[in-house]
Amino acid sequence: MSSKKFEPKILALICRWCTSAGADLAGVSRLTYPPNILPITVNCTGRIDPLFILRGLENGADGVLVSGCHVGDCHYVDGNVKAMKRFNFFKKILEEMGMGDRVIFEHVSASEGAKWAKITKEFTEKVRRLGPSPLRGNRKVTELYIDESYRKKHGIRDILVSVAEQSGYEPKEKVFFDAEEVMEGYGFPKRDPEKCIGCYACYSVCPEDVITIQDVQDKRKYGTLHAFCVVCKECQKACPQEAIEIVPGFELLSYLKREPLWDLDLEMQKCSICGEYFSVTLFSNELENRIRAKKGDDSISSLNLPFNPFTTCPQCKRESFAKIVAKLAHPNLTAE
Amino acid sequence: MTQNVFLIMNRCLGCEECVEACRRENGDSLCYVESYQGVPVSFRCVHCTDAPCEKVCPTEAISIRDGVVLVDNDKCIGCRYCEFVCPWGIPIYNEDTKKIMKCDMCYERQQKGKVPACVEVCPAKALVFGDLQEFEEEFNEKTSIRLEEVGIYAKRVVLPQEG
Repeated sequence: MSSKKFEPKILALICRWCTSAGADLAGVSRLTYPPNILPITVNCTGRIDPLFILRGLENGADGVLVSGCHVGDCHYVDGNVKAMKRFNFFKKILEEMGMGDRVIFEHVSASEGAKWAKITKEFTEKVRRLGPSPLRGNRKVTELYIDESYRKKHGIRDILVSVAEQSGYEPKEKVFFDAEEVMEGYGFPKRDPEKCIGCYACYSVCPEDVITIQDVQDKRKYGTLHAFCVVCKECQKACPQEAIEIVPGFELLSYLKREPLWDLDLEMQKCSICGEYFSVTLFSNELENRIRAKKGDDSISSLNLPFNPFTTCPQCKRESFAKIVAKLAHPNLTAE
Repeated sequence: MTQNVFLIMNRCLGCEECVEACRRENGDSLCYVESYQGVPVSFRCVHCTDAPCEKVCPTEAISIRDGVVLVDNDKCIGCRYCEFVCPWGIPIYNEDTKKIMKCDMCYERQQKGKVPACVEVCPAKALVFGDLQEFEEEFNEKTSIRLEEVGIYAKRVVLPQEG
């Protein structure tokens, strides 16, 4: 084939009950539709994983057409509605990367042979005008496997990163998605700045190790590698302050760059002995109040400590303890 | 009956055998040897009678059983409250398991009738295990006076001999 004449390859993922029958009807009714369409039948569009669409694009399809029943006609109650939500989410990501026009979601019922012929013609024309996909001819296909540490979600991300690379998309600023636009399973913990006191519970219980805590100078920063958050709500259950809520949401820049999405900054305090930043100010105040409430106000002064236990780091506490004990055994030790 | 591990001060050589024994027993060292002006001090959890760590634990993972302050690993969520409130900086946070570890006075060994690992290995017999009353007979006058001065916490870990 000469290079002048570009023939697009279009992957069509169609539902068995409506669109498949509709496409059949188009054939039986002797309507012609472009041979560029390569249909794959699935039982319901609800079965269509975003991975199928991304995989199709990555393998060189110039366009992907997804078609199912009309809303309310689904053989499985609401499979098509779920599929539509997932599709729209990934379409928006692809739009950001400049590939949004190459995917389309349609509703074709079993009696709409003519509609099927029409939309396939239109879509083929549209893709023909767009030209070949930037991923076409590139045989670098992302390797997918699923095991304990690598999940399907990681695969989706790997493909999106590869698509972004190959289509020359470079995210520059944060692109937030609204909660309604986000597919189920995409979200991250959101901390209430009024309630969070700065402990490590969420970090410790996270089974996927996606919660990141970093001390930057005088601030302790809390964030989430939300690309890998599985929305298991373990942190929400564990949070002693009930400060965490898992919210649906998505942000493209940190997703593609594998950076944490920073959520909250808390002010840190210095150790009264060594002068290093070691803990969150709010955290020490809160715990001091709790100890006072449970053990009485004089419980701390009765220990007769030479330092304030709430503003001293553990290493300095241990050294101070050794000092007290050494002086106890050897009273003649000279002072420092 | 509150047994505890006591340190007889002027016997300690600072050889850190107790630290090594603790590491063999628990996988991570929960004993500390710090020295002040050349005086080595080996210490571990005091097992306070009204432990602040037990008071702040949000999941009740820390409990006091037979005078031993224990951490229940299944309940621990790794919030590090106890690490922070401990007046002596004893509990440590394990980055691998993401849980708190602290001395449990070798509770399992005690169940089998053994003494804690650190006491067993101490070459200078500086670490002793038992009741404070057991050792009181050996005290001289000065020891008792000095113990009065330091308050209950140090009293639960050290037995200063005449030095």
